[in-house]
Amino acid sequence: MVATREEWSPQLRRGVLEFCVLALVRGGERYGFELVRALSDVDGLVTTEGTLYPLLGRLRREGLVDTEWKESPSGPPRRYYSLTASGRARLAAFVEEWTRFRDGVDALLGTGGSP
Amino acid sequence: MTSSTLHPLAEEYLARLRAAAGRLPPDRRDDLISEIEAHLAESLPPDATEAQVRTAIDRLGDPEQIVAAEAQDEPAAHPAQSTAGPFEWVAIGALLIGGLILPVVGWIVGVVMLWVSKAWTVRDKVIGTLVLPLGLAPAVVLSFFLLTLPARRCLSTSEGPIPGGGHVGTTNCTGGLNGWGTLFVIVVWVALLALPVWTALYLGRRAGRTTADSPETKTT
Repeated sequence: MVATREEWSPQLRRGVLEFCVLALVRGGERYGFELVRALSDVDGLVTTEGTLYPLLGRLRREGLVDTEWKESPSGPPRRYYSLTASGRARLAAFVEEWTRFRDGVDALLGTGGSP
Repeated sequence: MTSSTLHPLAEEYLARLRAAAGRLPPDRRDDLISEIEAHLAESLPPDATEAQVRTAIDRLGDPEQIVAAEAQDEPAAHPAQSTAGPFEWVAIGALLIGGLILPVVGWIVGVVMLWVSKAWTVRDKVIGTLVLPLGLAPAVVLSFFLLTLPARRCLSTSEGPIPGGGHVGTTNCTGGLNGWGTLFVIVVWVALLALPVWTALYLGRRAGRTTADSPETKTT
């Protein structure tokens, strides 16, 4: 059976999305809307912005990010996300794994370009 | 949340989200709704045009889909999956006789435990709270009341014979209850005793069932 694009594409995205979130807050806290827009600006990564909030909630429950509501200079309060120690460790492990994975797949597909 | 003035279309979208999110646990639902509400407020200028609102809503996606994503990684979303532990048995005990050990407060402890537990559905919890308030305490209080009630006494006073035979007299009864009163009190007393016991058995049975027994997982 050959998986159609509709089948593998969401799975591929779901697998890497949470690490993209962790990477976005690596450099400091960012609020929900900011994160969601940054992710949806990446071509092909996000189909519906709304479904990213359940993902953020799961990362929070897993203790990979911390959150804090803060007043915003304009508009409603913002929920800020920041990376926890275990989130940092998880991200580091993924970066290592991803690099090996990507290099291997690129070599097979011939998509790696010149080294 | 200070969702001052959102466009009617955005409000309508939030209403659909709230309706769809009804099946989520309350804390997850509130979190999700406040995030999406903040998202809409952030992405739309105060004087947003209809087209801008439609674009923002399209980018967010179908409320059903968002709620499905939220529900996806929550297998314990419905309470029927957890079965009874010591906590549930203490809760039932507190509901039944807590009010006798510590008047009123003991029963309230039971009610709080009942509502905190995940072993019961909301319907079970409502039954547990309303049938009967204070558990066995009302029956016991009524028993004491009946025991201290003076026995029924009837005094007949005779004013002597009257012409034509017979007596003129009056009968005065004091204290106690007459026949119908006694029957009524017995019925009430039995109900006060039986209802809390029935509820305790019911809650025990509902909490004791396993996941396989719960209607949610049963295949028809």
